Amino acid sequence: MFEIIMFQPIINSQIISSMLTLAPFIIFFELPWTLFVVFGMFKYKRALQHERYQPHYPAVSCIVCCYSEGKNVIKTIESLLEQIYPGKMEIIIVVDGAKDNQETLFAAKSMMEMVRKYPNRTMKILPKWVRGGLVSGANLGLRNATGEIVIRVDGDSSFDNNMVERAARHFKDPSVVGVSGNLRVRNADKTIWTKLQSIEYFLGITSSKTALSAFNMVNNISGAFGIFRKSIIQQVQGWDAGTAEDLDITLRVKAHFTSELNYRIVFDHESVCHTDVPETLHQYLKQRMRWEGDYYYIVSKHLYTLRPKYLGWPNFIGAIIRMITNLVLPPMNFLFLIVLFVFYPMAYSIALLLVVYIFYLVLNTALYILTVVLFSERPEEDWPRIIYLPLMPLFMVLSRLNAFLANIWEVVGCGHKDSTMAPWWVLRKTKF
Amino acid sequence: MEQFNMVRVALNPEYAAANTDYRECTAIESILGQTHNTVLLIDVTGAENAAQSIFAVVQKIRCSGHDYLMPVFLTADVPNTEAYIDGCALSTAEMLAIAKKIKETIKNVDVIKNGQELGLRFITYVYSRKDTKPHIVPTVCIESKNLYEYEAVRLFINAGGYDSDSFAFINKLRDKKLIVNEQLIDRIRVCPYCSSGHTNYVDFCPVCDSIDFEQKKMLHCFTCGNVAPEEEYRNAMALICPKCNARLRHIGSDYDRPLESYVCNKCFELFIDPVVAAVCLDCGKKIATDRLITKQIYSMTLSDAGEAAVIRGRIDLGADIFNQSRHLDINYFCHLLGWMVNLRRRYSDEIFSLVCIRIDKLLESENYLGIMQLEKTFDELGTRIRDMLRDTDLTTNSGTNVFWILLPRTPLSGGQILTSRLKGLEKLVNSDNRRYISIAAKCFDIFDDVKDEGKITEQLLKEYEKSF
Repeated sequence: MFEIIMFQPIINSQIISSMLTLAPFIIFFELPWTLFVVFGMFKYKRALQHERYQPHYPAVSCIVCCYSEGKNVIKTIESLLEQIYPGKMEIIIVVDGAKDNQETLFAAKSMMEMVRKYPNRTMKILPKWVRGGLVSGANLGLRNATGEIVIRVDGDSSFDNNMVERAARHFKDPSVVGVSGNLRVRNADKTIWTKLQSIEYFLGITSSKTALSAFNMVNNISGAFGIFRKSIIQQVQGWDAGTAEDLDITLRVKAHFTSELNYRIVFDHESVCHTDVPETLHQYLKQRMRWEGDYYYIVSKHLYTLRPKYLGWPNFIGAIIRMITNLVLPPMNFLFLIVLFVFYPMAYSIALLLVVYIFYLVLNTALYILTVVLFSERPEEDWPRIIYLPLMPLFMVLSRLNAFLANIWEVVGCGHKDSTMAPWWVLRKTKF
Repeated sequence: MEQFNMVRVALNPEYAAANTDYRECTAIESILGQTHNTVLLIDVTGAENAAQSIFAVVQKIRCSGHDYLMPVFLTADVPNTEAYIDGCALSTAEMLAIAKKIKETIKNVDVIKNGQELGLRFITYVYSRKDTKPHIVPTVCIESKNLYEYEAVRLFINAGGYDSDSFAFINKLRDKKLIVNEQLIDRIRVCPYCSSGHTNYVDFCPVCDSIDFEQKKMLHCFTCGNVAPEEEYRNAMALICPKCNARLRHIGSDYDRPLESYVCNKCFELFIDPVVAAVCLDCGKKIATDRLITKQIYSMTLSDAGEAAVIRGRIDLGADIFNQSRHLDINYFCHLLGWMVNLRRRYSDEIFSLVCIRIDKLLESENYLGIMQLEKTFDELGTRIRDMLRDTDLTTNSGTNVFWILLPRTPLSGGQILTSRLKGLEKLVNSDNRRYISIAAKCFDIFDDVKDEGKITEQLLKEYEKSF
């Protein structure tokens, strides 16, 4: 208390100074982006309110890529069987490395009897005896898919019972080639880290993607939960080997956006997949090390197609913003902190960081409240988590620093080769 | 070398193959009663309902007292005929080889004599096939009450439809120990009321016995604990709890499926497990599954006693009438009789009587009543006679239709009372004032006649038999 009073004048003057320092960044980057997101959210909401419900129940193939999920795959199958969907649905379970993952295989087989009790539901189990990686499993599932729509999911996810119906309705519009579904954290209440990640998902997916969807700028259809028209996937010849296959296929699909008129990827906030997230900080940082590094790898691979000619202007601008966020900001954040603490007085640094913190806290809180009010289908779960928002700016800084390290690792050490997506003998042969 | 007379019958002469090797025959009756060396080949080419036609032809042969052992072959395999056909699609040499084997087997058998009595005719046929087709095999027959039929038996008992019971005939032969179980073929469950195997298994509502119910999936709402059928939760494309209006989105988080149950559309009761019962399609009765009678279906083969009966040319009727456990071999009976005489010689109060029963006109009865009715009459007769005897009374037979009863500790007067009762049975078993079966009975006190004799023999008993 004494220190605060002592430093009060300094702090006050430093705060003003730091605010002025930050002003350009806020005015030219953060504010426009925030306004864009808010505007997009309202646009999406308006479209939702004016939506005329037209039932559409095409045949759907759910490709469940499994590896060592063991009995957890039963929950995935159960939640797919629970879908309130009048149309035909086939569940394709691909068990990669089935020889070593017998538990997963047997767990899937044990559900065959239950599947038979459901009308309009079939299940195929494809054991890949030798491990070939996630992408090979997904492509095998695609080859065996008979539905018009393909939903690719992980073997330990579960879904709201209206997931398929909410996703499938969009495909009545022939211009829709993909639907990005909403992701929620299933184990959100486990630890503080899972709570923070659930807020991160909520803001990063539910908030942002509703806005992006309103402008046909959805940046990524998640690999854990991706819904595509089968014909477009076949057109781009399925998933490519290597890491970040979800971002990769999204970009390859988007490359057709201007060659074919009016192709769209939409986001549906009510088509919900639940997944477990890392419960400790160490696991979280390790996971993000893989994910963040993948972006550099993908940009390298798709450099040629990152042009308005292929993506269209909206998606090109979205890709640039994404590149800035994922590739430019992390090293900038790191440098910013170094410069701040080395070249500026401590009081100034603290004041600046305080301003940054307050700014992001207010921003996040505002976005969070808006998203819960506009889009949350589980407000009773989302409202209580608002008390963890004060921790989010700190969590984001940690995440940014981790992303910086991930980018270095990708550039210097080809981190994508260490991916657990496929065995090393497959990765080393990958041409990408 | 013995020559065989090869005869061919074409079921559909228009389609029959050209024939130079066999004598052509159009009517089966024309080849019956001629020679024992006839071998019949049935040409099934182009025949409709071949199995039925073949059955009719073979039935005539098997019911003939002269040619019932005739080997019968088919030119091609016809389903459901394997049980009673000697072979199909064989060369002439193969057919002759089988015919020769059959002939060789029965060379010591009086075929004509054995052909006079149904049971003996059948087991003689089985005996003749002991090297070629030794088993009496049941075949699936959906029309039959037992779901199976012994087709070979049906041929002999002149059965047209499936209301005659080849099983009863088989059981009789088994009871007489002439045939024995070979291999378990199947196990069926039959109605306890009418013995029909045509049962339908139906599940019923445990409350009102209605069959009109349907399965309901139940949902359990985590928010308020409500458990109700899924339909009550359905609201367009969502699940909404009817009690607390909570929207149920995710199984395991918002709701679960505790169980599947049934709702009766008649009494509207909810239940977990329906009651399963059998409904007999013939008599219409509803039967609890544990009350169904289990019947084992066996393939049969001729026993040693059956072979002996074929060679001897005689089936003892003792098994039909008397309790098997006290029906002795004639020689043993005579030995026991001798022992009784010695006992009486030593102990004057060890009196005994000997009763002789003779049952005549069996062949005429069979011809008049038919084998099944005769079997039933014998069953009734046997039941009444067994009721008259005590546990300590012993029996034997010294001929096909002559029986002896040893009554220990019974004076002559007691034996005479039994004799008069036995004679009285003749009226009971003969209906319409006709004398189908003749029953004669006499009681003997043989002690005085045989006390000085060394040994009691069957010959001695035959002497007594002649006396009445």
